Amino acid sequence: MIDLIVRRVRAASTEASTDVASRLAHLPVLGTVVERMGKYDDNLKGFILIIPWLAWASVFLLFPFFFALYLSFHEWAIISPEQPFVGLEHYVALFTGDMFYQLLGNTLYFFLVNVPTQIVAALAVAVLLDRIIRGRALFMAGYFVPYVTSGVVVAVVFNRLYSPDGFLNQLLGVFGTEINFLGSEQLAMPAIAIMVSWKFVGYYAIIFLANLQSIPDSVYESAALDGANEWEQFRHITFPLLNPSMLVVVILSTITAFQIFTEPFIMTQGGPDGATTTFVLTIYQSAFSYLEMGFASALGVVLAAMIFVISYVERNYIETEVSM
Amino acid sequence: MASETPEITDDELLGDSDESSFVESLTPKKLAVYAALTIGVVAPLFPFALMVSMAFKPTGEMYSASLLPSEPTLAHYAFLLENVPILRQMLNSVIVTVAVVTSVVVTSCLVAYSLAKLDWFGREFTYNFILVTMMIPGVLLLIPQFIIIVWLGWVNTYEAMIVPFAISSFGIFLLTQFFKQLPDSLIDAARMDGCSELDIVFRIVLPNSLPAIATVALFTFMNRWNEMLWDLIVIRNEDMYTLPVSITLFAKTGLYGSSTGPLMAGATLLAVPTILLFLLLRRYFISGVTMSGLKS
Repeated sequence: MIDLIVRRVRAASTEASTDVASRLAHLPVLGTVVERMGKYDDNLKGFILIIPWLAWASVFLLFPFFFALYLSFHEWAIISPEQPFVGLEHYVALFTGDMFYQLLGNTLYFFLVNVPTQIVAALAVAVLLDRIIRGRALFMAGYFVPYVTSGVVVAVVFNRLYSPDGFLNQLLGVFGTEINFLGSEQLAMPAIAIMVSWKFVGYYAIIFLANLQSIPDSVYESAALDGANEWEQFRHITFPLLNPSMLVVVILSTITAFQIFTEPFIMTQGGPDGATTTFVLTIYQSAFSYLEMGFASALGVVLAAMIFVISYVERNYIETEVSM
Repeated sequence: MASETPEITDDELLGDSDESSFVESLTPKKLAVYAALTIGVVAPLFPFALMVSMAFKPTGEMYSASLLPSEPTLAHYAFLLENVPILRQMLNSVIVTVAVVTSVVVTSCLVAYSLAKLDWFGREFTYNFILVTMMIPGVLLLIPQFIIIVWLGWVNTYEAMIVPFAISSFGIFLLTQFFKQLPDSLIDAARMDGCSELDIVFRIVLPNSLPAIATVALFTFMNRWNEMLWDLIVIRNEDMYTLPVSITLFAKTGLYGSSTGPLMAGATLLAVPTILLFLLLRRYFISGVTMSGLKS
């Protein structure tokens, strides 16, 4: 069916294109484009196969991208017919109010607990897995299970683990203390951050393991001949050579940290006293509880820009470290 | 950077090779490694044990220290069946997930074939453009996409949960990389035999790319099955909720009293499908991770 169309259109277009080409030849840009297009064999087929993506991306990717920018300069509630232009008002409100800086602080707090714990745990798992062959697949599966599990399940189960009458407090009860993890302004965010680390350890362990296995054994052998012990080998050979996967882990963790939603939404609703409120939670509440979609979009634009800039900087920073 | 390092096969990564003198090779050091891994693996698995235990414990002993219920009960599942349209919600999850996975696999094959094996003007640009779109954070598109759904009149419909996920830049990227490695002679031979382009995609390219397609299908399944925020926004009717939304609202509102047992029972229903698929097809999950790692 498609082939038939392709053949017909092509028959028509070869006639037309020589005609068009000669007519457009004197226009510098268009003339070159038509001439260059002639150098490819499958112009029509190639393009037809792209159409589903093009149609979908226009409606659900490209238009929303520019529409998000547009919204951020307008007052927009889905139920109200009036959507007045407000210029930079949302951005000014965002940067002059306290909320943005609290969100930034919360996210930073999350990041500072989340990244080190999951790097240490994932690296430990990867180094151990690297030393065995038999049973590696089985252990790897065990560590990876949390990653494939819904964040909703994780939040629901850890909610019980962390609760005052939950498992962790039953353990602490042996030592005669009780900690209300999610009820404490200082501990609620770290508790969530460690839970998210727990979910991603297996995922990052596999990235580290792939990196570890790409380091040739000969490097270690010559280091051993020079009298380097295992810790020295790890410190001076393995660790520097793990920079590519460190980069991946830090960038992916940054993206995760800035987009945390499900966990505080289920476990703390952003509390206590805003200690676990995150960017996406605020965007959700502004847009769908208070119907301030313009303001929520402005926050979304700022968030996207921050994610982009920070992962760019991290990439450059870690790459210079590698080259040194 | 990753490209400079030697290629690692999934077999090597998984350690699936035979070692005949395994027991002899067990040095004290190796035993210590196995011991550490065994103790360590309790951490990722214990919360699941707790969940399953609470899903089957009678309400009376919910907070007892023992993981094993004295008398396992199905009462919590019965409670869910009576009070929540849980079967309908599971069906919703299945319909939406199957539709999205099918669509992503078919469209990714078509687009990736065009990008990898056809020679057309603007191909490189299009490919790079698709890679760039992978960097747009989903949260930026949340509100405009919701407004589009309202304009289309799709609130509370399956379309709202399927169409925005129906095409995946990640799927296109991964399959394009894979299709590029297929020999051109394979496709040229098929074309000589008079196969149409669609025949080539679905009869030649697809059967020769099953590992990559399995990876795309599994990651799409996992992401769509676990999606909560989007469904929470576009669905307003209990009968149209997917499982993640249903469990979330159950957990948040405590609508049915503080009912830990039914909540954990619901959580098992949500958790089991992805875990089961992972255990059956873990090879393809692992290669998906290493691919996404290389991507960044």
